[in-house]
Amino acid sequence: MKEEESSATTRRFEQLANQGDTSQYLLKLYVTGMTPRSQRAIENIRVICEEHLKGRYSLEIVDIYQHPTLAEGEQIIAAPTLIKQLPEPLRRIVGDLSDTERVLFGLDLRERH
Amino acid sequence: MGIHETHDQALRRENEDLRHRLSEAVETLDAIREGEVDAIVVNKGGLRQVFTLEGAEHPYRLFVEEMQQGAVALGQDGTVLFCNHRFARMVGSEAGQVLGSRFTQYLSPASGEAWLGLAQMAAKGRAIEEIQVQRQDGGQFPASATASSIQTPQGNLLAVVVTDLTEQKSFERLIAAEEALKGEAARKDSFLTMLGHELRNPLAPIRNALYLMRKGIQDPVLMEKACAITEHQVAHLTRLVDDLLDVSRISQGKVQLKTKVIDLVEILRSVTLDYQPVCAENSLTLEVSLPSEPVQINADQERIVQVVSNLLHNAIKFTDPGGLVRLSVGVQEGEWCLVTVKDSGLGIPQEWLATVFEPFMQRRETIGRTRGGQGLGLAVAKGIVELHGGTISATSAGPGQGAELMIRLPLVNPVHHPPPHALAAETPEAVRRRRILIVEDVLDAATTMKLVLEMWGHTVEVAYDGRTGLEKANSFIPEIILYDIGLPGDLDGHIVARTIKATPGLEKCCLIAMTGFGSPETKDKASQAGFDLHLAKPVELEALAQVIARLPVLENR
Repeated sequence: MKEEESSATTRRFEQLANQGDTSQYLLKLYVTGMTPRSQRAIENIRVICEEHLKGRYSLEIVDIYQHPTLAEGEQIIAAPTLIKQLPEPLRRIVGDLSDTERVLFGLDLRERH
Repeated sequence: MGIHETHDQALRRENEDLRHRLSEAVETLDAIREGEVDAIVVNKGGLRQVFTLEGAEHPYRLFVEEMQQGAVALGQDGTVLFCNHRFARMVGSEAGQVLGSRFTQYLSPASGEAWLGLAQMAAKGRAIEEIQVQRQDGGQFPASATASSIQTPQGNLLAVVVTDLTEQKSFERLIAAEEALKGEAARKDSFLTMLGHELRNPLAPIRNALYLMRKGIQDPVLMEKACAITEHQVAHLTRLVDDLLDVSRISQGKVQLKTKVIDLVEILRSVTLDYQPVCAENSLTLEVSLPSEPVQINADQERIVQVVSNLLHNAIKFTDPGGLVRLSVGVQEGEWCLVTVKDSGLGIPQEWLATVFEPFMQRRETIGRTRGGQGLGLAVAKGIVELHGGTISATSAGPGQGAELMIRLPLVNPVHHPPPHALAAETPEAVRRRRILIVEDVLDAATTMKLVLEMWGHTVEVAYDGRTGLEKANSFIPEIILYDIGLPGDLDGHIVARTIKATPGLEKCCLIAMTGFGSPETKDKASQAGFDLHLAKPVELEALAQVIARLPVLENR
């Protein structure tokens, strides 16, 4: 990498890191009723939020059986799906969210190694 | 592109973004392939469908199967596409039988309209309606149906949840019955209180009159007044007690009518003659309007007279001097006869009109003077009229504007019967001395009757029980025996009558039963037992005098 590039990357990384410290997260978890997988997804995201986003997140859980219209704009393909609406860009993670590293990467809280 | 970004940085950012999105897509596909999702969402033709993978819907299925209500999903042609086994059990069938059948076969015919309304409303949102569900075995039960519409690409489904309301309804009925009973009990309590007062009212004047009779025994004018008062009050008391017993018997369905074809015009003509004097006394005008042709009905003459007398009595009671009482008889549509009693008296307020025929209803005029009356007379009248297959109604323009009571009775198909001859009234003749035996256990009743008969010139003996009565009959050989048929003890009326008739010398003895109830049934029993005549207690002395006077003269002994 050229020098400018590496400094740009460093700067970008710092930006990200700073973002992680101060910006407000708006998360939505779309589940299907009370399946075990839904329970796990809910449990997992709660833990992640408390550990990494304490005080700066808003988590909404939507049951697509009970509230079918709420998922319409989000282009949900499968459930459970976690959507990070804010901060941008929009990110999407499918599954029971038990792979913490993957979730954190998906939420732009980690760089993939 | 940010201001400080170079072209390179913009490209890198875009690259980063694309990589994210690619990895998201790949991971989503992986998750689906590995079965790490519960459901897949498909958007087809603008309609979103959630396809649930196995296991995810298990709890819902469990709920639907286990819940207390029946659940069905119907296609647009009314076919059952899904039902839980509760519904199948509700209608007495099997899920396998219910599936594919027409839902309307599980509705009672009467519920058709309600069901249509429900289905229409459900198209706009959830709707709920009460229906009658019909089981396969023909039985029915009340139910509540909640219906909502489900949209699918293949058309709309109607999801219905059915709740059995049988228990709730019977509970509601119990509550209503309890309320009704409470109301009845309250009304009876209030009735008993008023009855107590009513019965007590005549006692005071009677007591006073007796005092006067004791003190004023030398004064014929005073005696006359005292006697008149006592007579009047006793008549009132007798009427009250008779009405009371009638009401009780009618409400227990124990009244039997002795019907025959009678001419109402003739009967009522003589009734009005009886009431002329009373009306004159009260300065009331009595108008009578009767058709010239006979009006024939199938009825119990005594009871019809009782009813019309009742109405006339009320009209007179509630109309001030100078007023008018009118009795008219007419024919309606060739099927009914109408008897109307109209008066120009106190009238009936609108709010009482509906309940005026019920017993136990308090009725007090608001004019400050109470004329008493329990409304018993009207209750009896209604009972009797209805037993005859007729109706009775009351109208009034309001307080102070009089009232009109109307009875409707079915006409008999006119078969010409010679009108029954009214019994010619006997003119009192000189009384022939008779030997009379009284068998009565109430001391005062026996004593007073003995005194009266002796005053009339007869020879009288008294026995206070059945056995003594038989003994005395043997020794005294009376021509007439006045026998209280309600005597306590084990001597049956049958036995007494037979024994007496079998006694030499007593074969032609006139056996008169004194009946405590005076009802047609008791009179029947009396004559079946072998008694020649019956008189209702309290025995009317005039009636007794007539009976004695008409007896054939027996040979001297």
